Formats: sequence, structure tokens, C-alpha cells
Amino acid sequence: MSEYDILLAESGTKANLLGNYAFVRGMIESGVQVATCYPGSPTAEMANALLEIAGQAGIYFEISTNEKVALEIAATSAIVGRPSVCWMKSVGLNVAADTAVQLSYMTMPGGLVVILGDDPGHLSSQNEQDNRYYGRIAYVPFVEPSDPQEAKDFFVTAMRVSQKYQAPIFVRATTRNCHQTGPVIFGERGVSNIELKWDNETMRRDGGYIPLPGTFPPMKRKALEKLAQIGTEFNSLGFNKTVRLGTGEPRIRMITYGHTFQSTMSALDYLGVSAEILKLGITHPFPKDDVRKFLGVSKEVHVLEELDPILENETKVLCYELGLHTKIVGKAGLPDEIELMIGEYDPTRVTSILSERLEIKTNPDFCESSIPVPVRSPQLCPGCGHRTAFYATKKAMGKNKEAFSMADIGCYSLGFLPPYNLGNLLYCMGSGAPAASAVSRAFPSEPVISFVGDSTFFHAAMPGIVNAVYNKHRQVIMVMDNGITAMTGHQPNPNSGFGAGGATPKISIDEILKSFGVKFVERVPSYDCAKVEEALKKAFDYAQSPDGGVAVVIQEEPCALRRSRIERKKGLLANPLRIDLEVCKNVKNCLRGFSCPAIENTDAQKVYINTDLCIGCASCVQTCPLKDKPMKRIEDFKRV
Amino acid sequence: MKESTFGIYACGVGGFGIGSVTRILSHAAQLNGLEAFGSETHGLAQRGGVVVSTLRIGKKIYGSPLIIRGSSDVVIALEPLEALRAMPYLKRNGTIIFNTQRFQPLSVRLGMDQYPAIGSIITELVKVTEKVIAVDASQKAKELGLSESANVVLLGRLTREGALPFDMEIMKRAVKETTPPKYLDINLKALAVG
Repeated sequence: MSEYDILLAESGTKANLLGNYAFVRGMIESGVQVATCYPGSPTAEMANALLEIAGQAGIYFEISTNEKVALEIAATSAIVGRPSVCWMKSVGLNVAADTAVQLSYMTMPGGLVVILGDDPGHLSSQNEQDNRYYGRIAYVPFVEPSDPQEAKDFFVTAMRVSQKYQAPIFVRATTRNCHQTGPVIFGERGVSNIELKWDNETMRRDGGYIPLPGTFPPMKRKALEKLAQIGTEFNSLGFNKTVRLGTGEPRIRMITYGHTFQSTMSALDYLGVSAEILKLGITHPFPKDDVRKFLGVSKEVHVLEELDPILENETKVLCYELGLHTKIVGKAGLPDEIELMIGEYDPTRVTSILSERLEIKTNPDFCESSIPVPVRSPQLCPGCGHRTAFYATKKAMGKNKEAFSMADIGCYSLGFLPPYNLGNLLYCMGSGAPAASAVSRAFPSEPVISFVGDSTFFHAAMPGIVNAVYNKHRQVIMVMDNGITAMTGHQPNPNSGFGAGGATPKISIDEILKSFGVKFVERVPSYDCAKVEEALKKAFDYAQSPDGGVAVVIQEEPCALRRSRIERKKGLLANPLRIDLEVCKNVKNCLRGFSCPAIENTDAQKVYINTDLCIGCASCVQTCPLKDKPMKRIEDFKRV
Repeated sequence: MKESTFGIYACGVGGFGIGSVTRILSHAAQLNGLEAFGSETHGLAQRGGVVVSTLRIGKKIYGSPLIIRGSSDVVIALEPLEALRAMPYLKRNGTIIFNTQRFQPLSVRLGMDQYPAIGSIITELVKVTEKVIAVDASQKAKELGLSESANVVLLGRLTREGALPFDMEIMKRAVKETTPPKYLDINLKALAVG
């Protein structure tokens, strides 16, 4: 029995589902045969579900090495006739963009739906980019659901329309769509009866699959024609709807979509305002007919959209085309124009936007704490091997050298926080090594280092490392090998020894590096500070030696969170440690310098180990400068 | 047109069972024939950071699963500092319950910030409501032999106080139908000792 079994239930079942699981149910109802992804918030839970139930659902599922590869597998499967889906986080589409912009030129009889997890509010990504622009570059329609029921229903319809027009469709979900729960009524499970076909005849159909100067114009023409046809089709399917709230003449008329629509409904209910809302389910191509009908003879229409003013601008263009003088209120020209482009539109925020615009004097009755509430930032887990490695790195680099460390994407991005302050420049996946290359060229005598996790290594870091070797940059790279894609919830990667389909040979990072021509590769246990420090010092020396260049230290320790969960369940987790206050001299380096979350400060300003958090790794012991260590393992302890 | 919905704001530190609080409550709502819309925190924030789940319960829910500031009928905090952080979401005369077990944030451990005393947290919270309940749920849960059941201890107490729109029978069923068999016995006891 798995918690995901409900997703396989029969038609008519009503279940409360997370948005991401609603998408998975949509895949099952669409007869999807191929599902691919690279894990990323806010879409990661789809992978977790399919890791469990893909087989029972009749879906071939893989976690690909990156989003571009995932998209190529899914798109090509659709071309040969298999209903396919690929999903990725917002910035994942940048990685897949080279492929994404080609999709609409291809004929895909199997149907391809790509689910994009955008992140307004910047909750778990390096930016909050508005991926709706990609629909305009790639000529791919955009469908945007609100609640979990719509997530499933829109997916199913999108797949059907994709198959009808043999063209790709993007479903855009935000963090709030993916991570909300709500009731979903299930439809029938689907089975595809599309023929699998790829031969000398199909390879040339509709202008073929090779975009060349001569063949490209008709391919683009086809893409643009299909885009318009699909737009018309979605409009006829009622994807856009008008909602009226309250009685009498509406006090405000608004165009909105997605979770912003939900926030708007909450806000209007709270304010008790009558309104008429056009809720868009398809945002690209812009549904001109529905918007024209809604604009009617209105004097003023508000466009409420998170992030960039895309629908606002489309609406303004339409008004111009129609010769309407309707005032469109969105973001442009407002005093808080810039602020309106930043962050999520949650119901509290929409309430304040609307009460200001309608000049309603609401006094939201809430009370803030008058005493300061310390920030609680995410941090590396208790016993995390990355922490010990960072502790050693800081020592190996020397005083005040933190600026020469470059970050990458993963749990280890948190090395940026005090007390380590390691990893101080970050663009995106795989950017650490190239950034370090540039800094090492500018400051040749400094200890320049970049960090990269095992999953990120395979995803996007390899070209940067090859470049460093090829162009003879002198730098140290630390591979943070915990054997899993940890930050998104422990999905496997090529270094894990297993994948979505079960056991698979581990692909050796060491051998890859050696084949790149990296002459210095040393693997060290993360928990051993002295060994990590020694290896790093050697690596820095090597990097700057006459024959030196790129040196790699691989610090290895399984993800502490994952390991401790498994060991806890089996009753195998080591006993926690305690501080022997008779021995402790209150140096507090374990607390301030090492800073494992299990080590706390008591009200009496003494060091204390929280036994609920301590996983017993004992790596803090080596950070105490005293000869007689006050950290003692608790002999008689029962973990509950 | 005001719909009557019941808002629950549950918060704590990543990895301490906030998700299961709203799962149990959402199930209880369904057993009562009500709809439940919720939101959860996943991803990086879970790594020892602030985790918030919200739930709106009612006959027919529309709108966002998030709760407007000052509109939560009940706030459930698995950690005292998080109770204080959640204060702006608490409805006047609503109910707030928190577990007294503290988890120091980084800035407190590094000596950059002060962790407020439990007494002053309560003093702040009573500005919004008299219904402030502080429980050492972690201790009670450990006595039962399962520290993870601290969240159920809090739910038991809230039910007994009549702060939730369900009675104990419904909560028992909700716990039964959402708890793995291995932990069921302890979770039912946790509900009772709360």
C-alpha cells in the first residue's frame, strides 16, 4: 500500500489531492505512456508519485539527467505516437529552452503536454521568471489551471487537444497550484489507441523534422496556424469563464487567471464587494473574442496578474485594435508599478490592492508581535556531511577568503549562510566552475573553489569542468557527493545506483573527471575534517603548481536526512551525544563555528545538544579545541 | 454573500509533522461532509526553515486555500517562536495552541538574536485572544513512545476545547483513517492525552 494508490482509483472517486498529484491523475486519465522530468520544486512531488506507481499506471517514467534531455525524450516519444508528458520547474525551462522553442515545428501525433512549475514569490528557485514569455517565443499555447480539479481536467483536455492538432501544449502551474490540496472528482482511466509509427514515410510528413533554410518557412507557417486553431478550440471548450459575485451593478470588473483568481475571490468575499470577473484558462494565444465580449462598453477593467504585465499589454493592444477607450488598470503607470511585478498575489495582498483601488476603508483586524521574531532560515540538516566539509573548507582556504568560493544549486547553496559564508556567487545549475575559472584568472594567487552536488554535476556542470581543463584554468572543485538529489526530496540521479526503473550501475564521477583530463581527483569522507582539509590544501597547492590546473576533491557522505530517516525506522540510528558540563569550558566553537542545528544555547548561556535533533554522527567532536572532549555519547537512550 | 469558512493556520519547523496536521484535519472535514482546501510547504524551506500549512473548511469553498491575515479561526504552532510569527494570521478571539518545545533558529544559536521567553510570547498572543493554549506536546508524545505524535496531542487538546468544527468521534476516525497501522495505537492515545 502506498499513499499514491488513490491515484489509480476508479472513475467517480472523490479525493482530496495535492495539485501535483492531480496532474498525475490527469496523466492516468489521458493514457499517458511516457513521463519524464528532472526533479525541481514546485513540481518534484509528481516524480515521487510516479516513482511508486508508474508501473501500475502503465507509464514509462524516467528521471532524466536534466530538463533538456527529459523534454527531448518526451517530445520524441510523442512524435512516434506515444502520449507523453514532461515537467520541470520554472528555471528548468531555460535549460530545456533550446529544445522547447523547436517543439511547435514538429508534428506530434502522440500528444505532448509540458507542465511548468513557475515560482511567483520566489519560494524555491533562483528567480521568479515569468515563463509565459516562452509561449510567445516557442508558439506553444499556454493553459493555466487554478485548483486541483482544474489541474487534472485542464491536463486531460490539453492532452486531447494536443493529440488532435499533433502539437505541443504547455500547462503552467505556479507553486501555489502545485502545492495546494482540494477535492478532485476522478474521470475514466484512459488508453491510447494512437498507432506507433516512425518510418521513411512519417519522417517526411508535414514538412519533416529537419529545420533547414529551405524547409523552415512552411514549418513556421504550420506552427503559427496551429497555434491560432488551438486557441479557438480551447475557447470553444469554455476554458475562459465569466464569474459574477454579489448583486446589482458590479463595483469592479477584472480579468485574472490561475491562483490569482482564487486570491481575488477570497479578497472580494472578505471585502464584500460585487464584481464581474473574466477568469482565463488559456492565456496564450490571447483569447481575443472572450476578452472583447467582456470589455463590452466598460469604462474601466482591471487586469490582475502576478509578475509581468503580459495579459495587461495584450488587453491594451486589443482595445486599440477595437478602437475602445476602456481604461485598463494593471501595473503600468501606477505608483507601485515595480512592486506589483514582484512576488506572489496571495489573498492578503489582493485584498489590500483592491481595497486601495476601490477606496474601501477596510481595517484588516490583525496584530503583529511587538517583540522581534528572529528569522528562521532553512539550514543544512543535523549531521549533514556538507557542513563538516564546509567547516574544513573554511580552514583550508584561510582567513577572509570566503569570497573566492562559488556556489551552485543544491542543499549546499545554504553554505552561503553564517557561520560559513561559503559559495558567494550563483547564477544557476552548473555555473560554479565557470565562475571560479573567471575569478581564478583575475586573482591567480587566491584559493579559488567551487562547490557542486552529484546531481548538478550530471545535470549541467560537466561542460564547465571540461572548459576549465581545456582552457587551463587553475581552480579547485569540491563535489558534494551525497548520492541523491536531496533538496527536492531524495530523487535518484546517475550517481545513486538506482533510477525510476530500479537498480542501475552507478556512473562514476571519479572516472568521468579522470577522462576529462583532471589529474588531481581525491575522494574523502565528509565527516573527517582533517582529511577534507588536508585534501583541499593539497588541491590548492596542485592548482597553482607549474604543472597544475583543475583539482577536484570529492567529499562523500550519504544524505544525513535520508540516512537518519531510514535508520530511525529500523531502530538503527546511533544514540545522540550530550555535553558534559564538567568538562566543557564554554568555548562554543561547536555552536558558533560549526553550528549544527542540534547544538543549542541554553538560557544560562551553556552549550546543549538537543537529543531530538542529534543523529549521533559525532562530527561536532572534532570541532572542539579542548583535548578532553565534552561531547559524550549517551549510552542509555531510547529514541522515540 | 459571505461564505462561512473555517480557517486553520498550522506552522512549525521543517520536518516536524505540519503536513500530517492538515491531512488529519482535512480528512475530518470530509468525514463531516465538508470541503477542505489546503496549501502546503515543500522543497528547500523544509530544511529546518519555517513551514506553514493552511486549511479552509466549509460547505462549499471557493477562493484561495491561503488565509487572509487576521482570519484564522485556529492557529496550531508546533514551536513557540512560530506561534509568535503566525500571530498576524490569528483572528481576534480565535484560538491559538502551541507546543512549548523550542527549536532555536540559526541566528539565536549564533548569538545574533534573542529567543523570546515563553511568558512574553503568551503576553503578545493574548493581545489577540484569550484563548491561548501552551502545551508541552513533545514531552507528552515522548511519554507515549512516539515523538512524532506531538501534533496529534495538540489536535486532541483543540478538540477537547471545542475549538475545531468536529467532535472527538470524528477526530478519532480521521486519525484512524490517516495513520499507518503501526502508529495508530499511540496516535489515538495522543488524541486522548491532549
